[in-house]
Amino acid sequence: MSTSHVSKALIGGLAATLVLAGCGRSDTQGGGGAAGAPVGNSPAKGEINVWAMGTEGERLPELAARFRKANPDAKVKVTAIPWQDYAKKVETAIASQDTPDATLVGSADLTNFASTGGLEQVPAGLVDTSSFYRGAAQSTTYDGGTYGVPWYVDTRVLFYRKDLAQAAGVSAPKTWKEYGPFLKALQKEGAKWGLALPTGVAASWQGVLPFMWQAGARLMNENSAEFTFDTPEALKGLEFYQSFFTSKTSTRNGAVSLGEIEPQFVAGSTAALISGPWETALLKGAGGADFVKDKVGVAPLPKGAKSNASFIGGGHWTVFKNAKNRDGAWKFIRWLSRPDVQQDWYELSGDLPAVQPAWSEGELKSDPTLAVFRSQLQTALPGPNVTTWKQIAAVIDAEIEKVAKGVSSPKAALERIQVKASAIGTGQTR
Amino acid sequence: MTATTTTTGPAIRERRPSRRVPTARLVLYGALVLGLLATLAPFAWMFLGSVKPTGEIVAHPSSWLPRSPTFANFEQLLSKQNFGLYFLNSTLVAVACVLGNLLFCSMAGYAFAKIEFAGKRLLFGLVLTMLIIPGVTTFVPLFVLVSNMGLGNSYLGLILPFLVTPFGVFIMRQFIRDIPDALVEAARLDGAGESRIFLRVILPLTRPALATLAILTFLAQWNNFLWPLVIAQTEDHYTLPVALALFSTGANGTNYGLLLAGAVTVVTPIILLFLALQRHFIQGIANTGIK
Repeated sequence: MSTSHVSKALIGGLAATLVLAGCGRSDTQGGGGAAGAPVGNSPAKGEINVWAMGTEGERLPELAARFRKANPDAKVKVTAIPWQDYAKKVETAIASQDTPDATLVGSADLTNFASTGGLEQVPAGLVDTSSFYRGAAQSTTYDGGTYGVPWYVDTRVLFYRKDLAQAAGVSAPKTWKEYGPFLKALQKEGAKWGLALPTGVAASWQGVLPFMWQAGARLMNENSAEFTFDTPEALKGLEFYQSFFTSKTSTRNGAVSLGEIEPQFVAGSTAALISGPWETALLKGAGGADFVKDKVGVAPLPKGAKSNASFIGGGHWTVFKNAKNRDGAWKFIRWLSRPDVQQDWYELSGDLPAVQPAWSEGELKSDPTLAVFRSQLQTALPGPNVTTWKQIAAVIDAEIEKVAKGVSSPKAALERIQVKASAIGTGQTR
Repeated sequence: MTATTTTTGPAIRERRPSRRVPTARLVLYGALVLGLLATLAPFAWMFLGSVKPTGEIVAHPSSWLPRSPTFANFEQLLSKQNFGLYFLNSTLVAVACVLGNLLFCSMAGYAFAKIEFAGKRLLFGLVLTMLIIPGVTTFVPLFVLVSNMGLGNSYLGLILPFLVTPFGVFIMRQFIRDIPDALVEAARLDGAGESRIFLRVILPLTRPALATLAILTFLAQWNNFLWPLVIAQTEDHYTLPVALALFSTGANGTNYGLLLAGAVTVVTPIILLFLALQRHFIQGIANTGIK
């Protein structure tokens, strides 16, 4: 009796809910808006509320205090937000129109935020777009508009055990041809695996698409309307990726979590890995400063038929459409992309400047490890700027896993990626 | 682990009726001890890990006992600005939600279980429907609602949406239904009003269910991450989980030492709370679980 009572009540409740849901508004927000009014040169005024994530959020107030010196009437209020689930926070803020003035966003997420219509386009003439690394500038655009200003960048390079390479008498590979023999030589010096590669965990594509780019593949056609994964170049790239497993240079069971590979690299069981500027700090944590100094070598990725392109990530500044102080926000962002401020920020945070002229002085100019990143940044590329990229990336990750584990040929994997990516589409109706 | 325990236990007892019970007991206890160890191992790892330097936590091969114990992780954690405030925020939100749930859920539960009124079934159906609808779908509308009420970035905004929960109403209603009507009627005959019946008759009898509800609510609020993350617009309204995520997880790496020290700080009050309420809690689970 109790069960039937409960189920009857439930049915009644569900019906009532559906009725209520039917009364709801259904408004769909359109895409981006037009570029806002130009921003003048007078000092910024008023309170400027900004969100910044993680370490950036913790350190930014110090930099913002310097902004105040040049703009005594403005006050930048920084709220530090965790990187974890920050996208949810930004999306919710946009949906409720209760936003701060500006926020830092991960470069890969900008397209999605821009597509909600909650971001303002960068005012014309605010910054010199050509001063940014090309890959960084490329990831600020959506549907013909520019929605973000690159702040810092990161890219992946080759980290290898310098001591093993010296013992084997080899130097870092410059081309695909030298890649395999170099890693094999390190394995002969006692490393079980030559190179750590992603084998299907989330965001594996960031490690695998570069192989395709290096072979000369373009993953979208000229006007970015269609995906082109089924090209001979893409196939060459994926076959090259597969060759690391068939030659037993890389394990088919790659790392599944952050921080897993560093101990293996320190222990010498894995001789090389591909990672970004944050890796140095992680290796210092796992192996100590002396380990990094004596045993870690850094080199640009080896060049394929076309280039040595790597993946570019980083952070962009965006301004919300509902900003209360848009003028101040854009002025702050313009100030942040000044070469001297970018250098200051590098000193405070270790983040690599997105503005190329910032690299012409001091440590950024002279440090040999930074020089490697600098040259890698010249050719680094972002993932395609489409709102559906998350879905497509998940498809790619799954197919990468099949190739890595040896259950699918690269050709079949690319065909499936092409079919599914075309079905998902670019999220644009052109 | 629990599966092995339940399957081997009765099977062995059937085969060897009375005298060889010690052996069966031994096997049973052995399985239980293994289960206990498997349950406790992550906690032990967390507590031991929190006093290791980061290099040792990620070391490969790893060791259980810290080779060079250090409180550096805790020092780093406590040196973070406002850490005491985050702790206080978490406590305030969790305690307020617990009190709200205890009062409102039991009141609603009492009404649904013992009072006849028009539309009762439909209303209770709506409560059940809320249990079914996943929280993620109502997340944005809820935020818009709270923010339009001007409660964004306020303690009230953190607390209000969770002051009464459908789950709590359901638990209390099921529990109160089992209290004999005769008790309620007797009180009514003696001239007691509804509020007096509720306070003097119903509440004292529902203590186990209240204890269960209290600890479950406390746990849910103490661990809640997404809502405080979204509703808090300035750092002084952050709760512990949000602050912890801010300090320990980056875009490309995790500070495991800090994370473990933070986890210890977050978990310890819950363990203490559970120990304090243990007796009621187990009783409550047993009673509500039967249905």
